Amino acid sequence: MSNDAVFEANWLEEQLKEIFGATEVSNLNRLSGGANRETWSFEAITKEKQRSLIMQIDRDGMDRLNGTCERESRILKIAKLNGVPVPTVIASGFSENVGSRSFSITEKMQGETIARKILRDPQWQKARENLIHDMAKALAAIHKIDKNHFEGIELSDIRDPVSSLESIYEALDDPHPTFDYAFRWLRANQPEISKSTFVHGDFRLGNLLIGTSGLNAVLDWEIAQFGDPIQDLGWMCVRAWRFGSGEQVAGVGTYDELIESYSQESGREITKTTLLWWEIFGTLRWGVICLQMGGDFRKGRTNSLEIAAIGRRVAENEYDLLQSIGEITG
Amino acid sequence: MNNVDMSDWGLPSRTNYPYDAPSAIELIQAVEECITDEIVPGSDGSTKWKLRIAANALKIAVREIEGRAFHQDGLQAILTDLGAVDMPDLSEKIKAGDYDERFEMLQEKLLAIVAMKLEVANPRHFK
Repeated sequence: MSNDAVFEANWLEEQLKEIFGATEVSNLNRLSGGANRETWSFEAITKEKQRSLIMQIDRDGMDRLNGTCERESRILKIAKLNGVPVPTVIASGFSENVGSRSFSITEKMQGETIARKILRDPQWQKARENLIHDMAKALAAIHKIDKNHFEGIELSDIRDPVSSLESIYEALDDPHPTFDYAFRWLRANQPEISKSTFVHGDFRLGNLLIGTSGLNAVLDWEIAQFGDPIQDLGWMCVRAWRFGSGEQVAGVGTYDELIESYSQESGREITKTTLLWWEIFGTLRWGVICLQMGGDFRKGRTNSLEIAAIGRRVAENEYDLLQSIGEITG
Repeated sequence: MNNVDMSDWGLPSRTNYPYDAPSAIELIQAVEECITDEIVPGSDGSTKWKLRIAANALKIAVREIEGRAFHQDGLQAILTDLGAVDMPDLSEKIKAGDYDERFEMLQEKLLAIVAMKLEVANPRHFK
């Protein structure tokens, strides 16, 4: 057993036995990335077949997040039935064998999630060209899912996004004047909120599995909820999610391309003003999340260095907020 | 009796009395360079990734120690300009709408504060 796994290979084999029959687990490897959960890849070998699978477990001490792996797997199944590209769920649940946390086992799909590779390496050139269209199409499919399908899954319905975000910021009780300035600007310039739909909540490179010709799967549904669908579009325009690229949308395209593609796929008309408002909202949201995650380290809920370092990314978001608001008002 | 030339044996003056050298900053820098130049090249996967985060965290720590006094003076001057006592007070005043008529001036002052933070946290982020 490698990589200090919190679970036993035997336990994993027992889980898979119920589904595939006698199964041998090999090549168990912990993957990097993912601040809120642990991710493992492994091979499940039966007499007939070898399957590449992914196992995810909630990270210890992050109980604040209601987006557990078990809950996410229920969302994945619904998304799959509604034409959203996602991995197939093999099993999920809670177990004492993973520290009484929840887990999910899904198929391992081909592709790359590391944004900097996708944005720079020549092998992803074609994917980059198709990405705006693929992302717009996937988002349109996500936003079209009938809300009734989610009955029994606890999903918040955010009617007043600014107040919701502000209540998190206020609860943290760590004043950041630039955030207060941004909240004030967002309130003064708020566009009409669109009819609430199912939204992914964290749709961006890093959470998307990219193949050589485009989007293969949408991952990381832990903060999916109901709300204004345009927030998913604005979120991927946030500068942090351009990963150093100069392109406005997810580091691969322009606002106009996204607006055109999404309008075509969804039948929903959106304006650039609205998209930019949601980008600024997204920047503030990421800033508050950075503050909150840094706080998880400061309060001893995690000793992860990665999460500690995220606390220092607050300043990047403050800078981006002042730049973006300055450009719009200037 | 002693023919060795000792003329360049003199050590740099210490900056951190009563302690000895290397100073805190020099120690942190030495660890950062050791990680970056010696350990990172021989590592891969999640270990390499964690080491890079560690080295970057140490660089932030060095920039903070070097910049803190200067930045704290700078912050105080900006707060005085804005008529605020400290950052929590500035937050309260913004929320109360005290600068609504001078939003551009506020934006400029906030950018000056944030620039000091970013110089320490991630100077490559400026555009």
